[in-house]
Amino acid sequence: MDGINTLPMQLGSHDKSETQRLLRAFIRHRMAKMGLLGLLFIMTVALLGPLVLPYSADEPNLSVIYAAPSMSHLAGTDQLGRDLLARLLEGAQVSLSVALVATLIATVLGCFYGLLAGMGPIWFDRTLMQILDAILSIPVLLLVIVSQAFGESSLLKVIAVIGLASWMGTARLMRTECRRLMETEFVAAAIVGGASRLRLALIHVLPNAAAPLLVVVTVGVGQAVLIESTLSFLNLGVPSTLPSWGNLLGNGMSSMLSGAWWVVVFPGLMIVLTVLSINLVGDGLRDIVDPKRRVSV
Amino acid sequence: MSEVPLLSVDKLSVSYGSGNERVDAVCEVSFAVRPGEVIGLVGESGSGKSTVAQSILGLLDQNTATTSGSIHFTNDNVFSYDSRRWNAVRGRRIGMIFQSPVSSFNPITTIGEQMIEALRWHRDLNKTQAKEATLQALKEVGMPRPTEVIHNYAFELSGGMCQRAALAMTLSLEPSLILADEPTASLDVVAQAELVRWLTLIQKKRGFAMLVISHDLNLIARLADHLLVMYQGEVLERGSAKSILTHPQHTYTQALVNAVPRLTQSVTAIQSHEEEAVL
Repeated sequence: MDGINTLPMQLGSHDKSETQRLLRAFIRHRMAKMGLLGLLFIMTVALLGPLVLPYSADEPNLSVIYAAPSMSHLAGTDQLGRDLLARLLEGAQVSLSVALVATLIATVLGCFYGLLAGMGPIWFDRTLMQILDAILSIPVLLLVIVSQAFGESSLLKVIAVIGLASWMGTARLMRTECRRLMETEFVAAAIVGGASRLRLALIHVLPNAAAPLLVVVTVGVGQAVLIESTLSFLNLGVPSTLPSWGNLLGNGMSSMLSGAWWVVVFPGLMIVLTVLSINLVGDGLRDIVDPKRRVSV
Repeated sequence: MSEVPLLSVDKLSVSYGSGNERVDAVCEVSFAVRPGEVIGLVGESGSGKSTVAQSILGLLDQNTATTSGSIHFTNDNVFSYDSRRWNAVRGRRIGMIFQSPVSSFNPITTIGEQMIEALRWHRDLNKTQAKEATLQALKEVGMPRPTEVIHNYAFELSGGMCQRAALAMTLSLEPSLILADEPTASLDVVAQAELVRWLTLIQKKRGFAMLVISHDLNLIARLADHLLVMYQGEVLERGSAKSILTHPQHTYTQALVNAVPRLTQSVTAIQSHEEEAVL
């Protein structure tokens, strides 16, 4: 009687979920795939390498000081005869975990600030954004260097400082996304359905901002690797007893003069490869997530 | 018909912005909706129809909109509602059907989850009861395969099916007044006719009052008992649907009616088309 059969039945015509579709598009994106493979390779080697290598990262061997790359020491040795490959792999663990945890802190902070601004009344939003503009006008590196100059350097402090220095972009994105999503019909429908503001923020706004957020977070990890390296290179980062990539670079500078190029080139190469891989993944995600730039695959 | 209005809007004015950039969207609009009555609000885009609906539900952006006048829902002034009061009224007592059914569902949660959530919140049901009521509501709007649909996302359904789901969600809360803001705007002609016919049936059966907002005279003519014609924020003409369509007084209304020249023919054409399709 109510003519159900006249309804166009489109069930099952696109029965893949949004996540599956994005995943598929990501795999088909050549550059993103290369970046992801590079990243996976670095992470696997960093985790499994130390189990296979016959050398420890900290054990000096004065008989092989500045040994050039060879079959026994694939990446050569440093001024104390420590195997550079072992140090690079342990450095990967240090550098990547610092970058990941710092980005996590930045993301949580940024999301919180952005949601607060985006969901609040307009005067509150304006105030928060002006504060953000003020913070953004301070050179990040200077801020970090000054804060690192006081007190003892520790791994936790480096992580906290990098995290606190890089949440602003995420906050800005989150605020804009929040304002956009608050205008949508499904948020209006949710308000009519009785959702509280907290519920709106956590169920309706945050998850729908996940895609652009993912892009910013990915690129953020690459940035954090760079900041960590810069700080450690300047001896203001990770304690020098830990072989992060920046520390290896910084310690190796003097070795360049004695012709041991490998002590500097290999850590530098690791940093470049890692940041490049992460940025490729980030660019790929951006292409996939942004419908206007969506590549035809 | 009962004389006590369910909703009465008195000299409602809404303007956006301030100072020199102030734009008056609605000027001194007054009307009443009695229980079980269907009122149509017709006008072209920009005439302030949707702003009226948004004011009734308190959905106007407080940062940019200034309102004056009053809106009473069952003798309470809705402008005095706090957020807790709103949450009890919105959805539960005044339901809303949105312009685009697909975008009125959160794209990352399933239809079922959203319906169950609304039911649990408003009708104080437990999870099993809410699921039961959701399935019941979907069946009632003639949704095919409701047990599958509750696991679907809005973008996986066709526009017509989505509109039914949205309708089921609104109706499941048993509101006494439903605001329908361009309910057919995103549907094709067949689905539109289907929805109108079905809406008329369920409205007769349940007896809720309805405020239908549309630019489409065809639609309004088939749904509403009384019509208000709006132009640039003001009500130009009001009266029974029949009298306005056959004897429009105002020049604007005459133009609007004449813009749909073969009104009666087109309605019957759609109806016969529907019947063919059903057969």
